[in-house]
Amino acid sequence: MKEEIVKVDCLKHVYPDKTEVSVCGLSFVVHRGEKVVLIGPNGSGKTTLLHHIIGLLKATEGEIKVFGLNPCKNFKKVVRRIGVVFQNVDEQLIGPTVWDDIAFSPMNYGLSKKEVKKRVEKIIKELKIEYLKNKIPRYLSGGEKKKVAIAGALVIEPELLVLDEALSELDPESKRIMIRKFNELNKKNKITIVLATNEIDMVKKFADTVYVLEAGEIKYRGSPKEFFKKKIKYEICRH
Amino acid sequence: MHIHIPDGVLPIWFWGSGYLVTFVFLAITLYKTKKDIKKIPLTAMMVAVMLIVMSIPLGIPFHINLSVFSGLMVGMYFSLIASFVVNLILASFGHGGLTIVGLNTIILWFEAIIGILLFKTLHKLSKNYFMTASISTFFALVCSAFLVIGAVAISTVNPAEFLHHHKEMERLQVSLPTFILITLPIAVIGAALEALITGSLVQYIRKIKPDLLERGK
Amino acid sequence: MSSIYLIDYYSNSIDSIIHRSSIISKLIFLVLVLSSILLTKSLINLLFIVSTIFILIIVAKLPFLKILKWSLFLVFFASLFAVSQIGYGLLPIQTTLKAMSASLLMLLIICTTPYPEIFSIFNRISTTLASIMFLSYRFFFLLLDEIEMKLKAIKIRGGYSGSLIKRMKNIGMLIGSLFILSIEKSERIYNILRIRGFKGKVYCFREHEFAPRDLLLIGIGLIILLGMFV
Repeated sequence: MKEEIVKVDCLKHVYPDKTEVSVCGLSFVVHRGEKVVLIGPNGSGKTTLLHHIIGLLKATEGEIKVFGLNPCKNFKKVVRRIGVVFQNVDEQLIGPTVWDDIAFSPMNYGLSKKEVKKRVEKIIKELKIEYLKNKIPRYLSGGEKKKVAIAGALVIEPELLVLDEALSELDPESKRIMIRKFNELNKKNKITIVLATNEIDMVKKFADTVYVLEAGEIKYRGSPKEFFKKKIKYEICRH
Repeated sequence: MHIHIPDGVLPIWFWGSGYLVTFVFLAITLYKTKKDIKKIPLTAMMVAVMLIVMSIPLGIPFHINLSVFSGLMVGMYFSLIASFVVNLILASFGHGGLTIVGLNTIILWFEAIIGILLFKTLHKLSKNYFMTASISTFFALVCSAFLVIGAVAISTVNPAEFLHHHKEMERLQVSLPTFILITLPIAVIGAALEALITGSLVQYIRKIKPDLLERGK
Repeated sequence: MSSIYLIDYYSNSIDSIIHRSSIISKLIFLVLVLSSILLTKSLINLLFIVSTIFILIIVAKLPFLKILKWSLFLVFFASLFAVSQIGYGLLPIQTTLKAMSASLLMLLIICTTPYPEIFSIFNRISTTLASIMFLSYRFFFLLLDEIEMKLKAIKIRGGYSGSLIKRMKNIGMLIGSLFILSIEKSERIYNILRIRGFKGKVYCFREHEFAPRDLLLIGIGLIILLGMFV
């Protein structure tokens, strides 16, 4: 039996303005080396679930384990092993230049300059974004920003990759490159990937396991094959 | 409030002491806040907000600073850093002399400190966030207007200094009241306006993010 | 606000010998020339400094008239002081020229130096200070993009045409939304910084290697400073 990387059981979170978001229904379990697609309409609770996994939110009720630890209590330990790409990529790019941004996490984690340089050069070559390296993030297109954010997440060589609508602004060709890259990383380095999206074709192209989240309830868990067989997609796409 | 005095107008000892005071307090502040990384993004956001509101046209010759408000958000130490960065960026874009950065930092920080202290004191007497924040802001800005008037009064000595001309001192007696007469009403109207805005913002914060105000303390 | 967009664009997109000069040489140049401007009492020296900066603006391929226009913002304030100096010989002209040359000098530096280079210098003094600078500049544009859209919407929908009270109300709404936006953004960005391992320093890899071309600005700066003693 494969190691459980993420395990979430019926979460409830109360935001400071008293808004309650719960993610209940079936348990959300991700095993090592698995590619999970979390699909659901806007406002279904995908981001809330991901924020709990990363340790940004503290569950008011329910249980969550990432690498066997509570991510909120062990934030630093857990987050060091996770690469994250958020929906609003503009806010994610912090470094003054693309190169600086990709080097941001490894430098903060105290890696040597030589090692950081090696890793950054490697990742920008692999993602074919060498031409962007000296640019200022503000001047990049939406798709380019997304690629830089993905590079910034991959450069720390994470065990778990959490992607919140990470491929949504990319053109078809870039999307293909990224999916190929994720599949390769998953195969070669056994990286576990959780991708939240509302694009149905990502299930076909990418998923080992599909979770369907609707109005805070995990309604379905299964293989993509079964997912399409049961025509669950039609319920989602109508939103 | 800040002063738009170009380079070369004020005597060196005057703007130099502005820098000296700023650097001394900045050094202490940076040392004290070395490990407090939590407030860095919020302070940076306040700097950005201040820079933007300063460029919003209001239709009267006054612009909002939000110095007291950002002081309440980030606290006394970080509001000094914010004041310095705001003025440095403004100067580098040609909105004030580089030599005046030190003095303007002190003025903005002064507003923030008075605002924070008044807010804390008034808050003990009343829990009405709108009223306490508005009154604190208003008085802080009026106090700072007097500080600016004082600074300009001292700086007006400049031509006499250059030419060792004592007539200038006589002229100063006349021009200063005129200057106050023009500046003070605008400052008071502006302070009232900013007080209302700060009051509303603080009240709003109290509703949506009460922890932010606590952090500022 | 558009001037900041343009300044950022000029510093990042134009290529000239001044743009390529290192930040160190530009800072030395700034200190040398600014000291000369502040210390000089000679009109000829000031005229020489202003003309040199004019030439450098042209060499830097910057739009001359635009830069001149921006410098007039401070010249206007200088003229207020200059008026009070009428009767003291050439002093009013000197005051105006001093303000103009200092302002042009700042604009020359800022329009030829990408912001990471400027702020990275502060990393040597304090990482907290430099981080706030880097982040505030980044946030400034993030907010500005959204606020410009809102400002346009207010204008298009007649928000600036009513009475003063109505205008104030609209401005209040704008500031309110700016504020909500900024708080939400700073919360999200704080989370992102935590995830990305932020420990209080925004790293910036900039080579500050000295090249022969750097001597150009330092040389000009020295000539200007020495010119004071001639």
